[in-house]
Amino acid sequence: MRRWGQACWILSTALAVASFPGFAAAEGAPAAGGAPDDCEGYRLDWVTGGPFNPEPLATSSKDYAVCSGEPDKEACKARHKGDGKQHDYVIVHDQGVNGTCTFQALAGVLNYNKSMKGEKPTVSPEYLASQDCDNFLPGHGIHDIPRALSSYNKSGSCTREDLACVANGGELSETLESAYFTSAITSSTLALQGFGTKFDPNEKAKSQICTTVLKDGLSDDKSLALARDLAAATDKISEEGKGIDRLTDNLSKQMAIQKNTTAGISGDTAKSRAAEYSRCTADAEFFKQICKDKIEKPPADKVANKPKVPADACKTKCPWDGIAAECSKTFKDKAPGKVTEDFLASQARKSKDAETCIMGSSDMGEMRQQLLNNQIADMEKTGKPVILDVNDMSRLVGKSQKRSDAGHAVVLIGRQRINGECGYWVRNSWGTQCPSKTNPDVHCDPDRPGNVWISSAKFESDAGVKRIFDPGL
Amino acid sequence: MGILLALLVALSPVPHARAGGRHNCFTVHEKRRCFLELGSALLGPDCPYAKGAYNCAAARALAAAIKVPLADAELEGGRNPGALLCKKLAGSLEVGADWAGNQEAICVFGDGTMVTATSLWLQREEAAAAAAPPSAPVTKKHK
Repeated sequence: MRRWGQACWILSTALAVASFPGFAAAEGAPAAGGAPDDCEGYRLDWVTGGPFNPEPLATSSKDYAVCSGEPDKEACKARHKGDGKQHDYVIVHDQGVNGTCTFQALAGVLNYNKSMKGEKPTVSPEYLASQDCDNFLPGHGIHDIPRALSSYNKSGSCTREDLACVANGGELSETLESAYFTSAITSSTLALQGFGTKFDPNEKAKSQICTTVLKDGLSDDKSLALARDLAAATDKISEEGKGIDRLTDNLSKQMAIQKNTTAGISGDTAKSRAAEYSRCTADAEFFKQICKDKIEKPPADKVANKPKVPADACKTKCPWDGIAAECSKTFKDKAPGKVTEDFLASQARKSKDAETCIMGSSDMGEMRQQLLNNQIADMEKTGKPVILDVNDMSRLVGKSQKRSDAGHAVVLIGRQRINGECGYWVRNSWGTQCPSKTNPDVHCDPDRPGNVWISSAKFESDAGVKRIFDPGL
Repeated sequence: MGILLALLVALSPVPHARAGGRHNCFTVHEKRRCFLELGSALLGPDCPYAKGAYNCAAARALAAAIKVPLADAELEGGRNPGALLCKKLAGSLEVGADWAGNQEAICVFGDGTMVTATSLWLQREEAAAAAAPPSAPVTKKHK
């Protein structure tokens, strides 16, 4: 008899409702357009970035009780009394070394959902900030590539910490130029890591990108002396094709994603169109701003030789104007920035086609099929995650034919048709490495490490879903 | 022996190894390390390569992982099988973080070389799949 206490801990990251055009480009896999597609667009986009618990040994486990999914909440709480972290969500058992992250992930989802309803989060930002994994709080429209590299301010100069802005040809204010790199790289790194609005996931993602890119660039350079002079340091990095190249690569990728987004708008279902709308307009506005900055405010001499992305992308006309036009055309009654939650929800209602893509087979054991399907529908509409206690994760994602009975929990984050077949996206807790490169029933999202797609047939055959957690959000 | 040879071949030639993308780079012990992609395995960058093969504890562990017993009961609770294998191979587990903060279990050995824990499991999976008779494809029920 499996008990909740034997279930593995759950990895949840942040949640955002968005579509997933990037995968098609990256893998060349998903079908686009065509017949009515019950999976098309129905996918929750969990933010990239976030902890995976390596789960080395169960003996190091700590339990975090979050009990709203239990019929008897009091009993649940009593069962977990003393861990100091009891919460009314769902039971989460942590077997690993970073249990706080597990808790925090769910807390983050909870906070997200509450905040979307205008309610006060029950878990304080301060608490979350005290944890190791405060960088994956959810939010709408989160992309793995930050849509805003920075804080180009109205005067066209960069904010103090925004080296990415400088690296892209932005203007560095006099004050900052003289002060920023007067300390060693280590302290600069700390400063970099500190910027961004901690609880704005977009900002946080931005922070991660910038920190990684620039820190790596500077580290690669191995010259503390250069770091004392920002202009020289960035020149050096650029010459050596390191940090700046990475940044350029990121920007190029952003653009590729953006193009795909635009191309996919007309063929998307209402749900994905709604998500696209939000994403499209936001990105278009951002890129337009970048272009305008490039055109109207040429970089200062000191940074004139910096990379030409995105400047090259908008030599004569900002291509993102077209994106904005497309957005407006597609959603002509919705001005950019005016998307409401009600609108998104209304657009996100499932079509009847979606009903054909439901869980259900004779091999699903004790799974409460109706509840699961209801929860999947709910997930798509509200962003509420579905958390499953599955039987055999190694069989599910691996090649082994041996069936184990190793209760495990995964987070079901969406469904999508790939190569014409319906499948489910899950996040497991074993890490980012793709569990299979050859199994046609398993795909990994190259841009969102840890997101694993499993064909519905395999899922139903091998998952052995035993329980469905109600996250109580 | 055949499996070991196959593994050595898979692990050996430099052209087969390629530095992965940013997703294969992890910060471990406060140092960023980009792992080599060798087939399905991600091997740490510090493993010496000589005479056509990688020669370090991590590479040897990849080969040895195939034969390490791993009972079903040990997977109870959904433990990471790669992490369990790491322990059995006398490795120590560290948490690596990729560029986006995603965590990966890294198995570090006495000589300082490392491999992702998942790699150890994948070696077993692939060996098992190679040894098993072809299985019927999963029936596609939902189109």
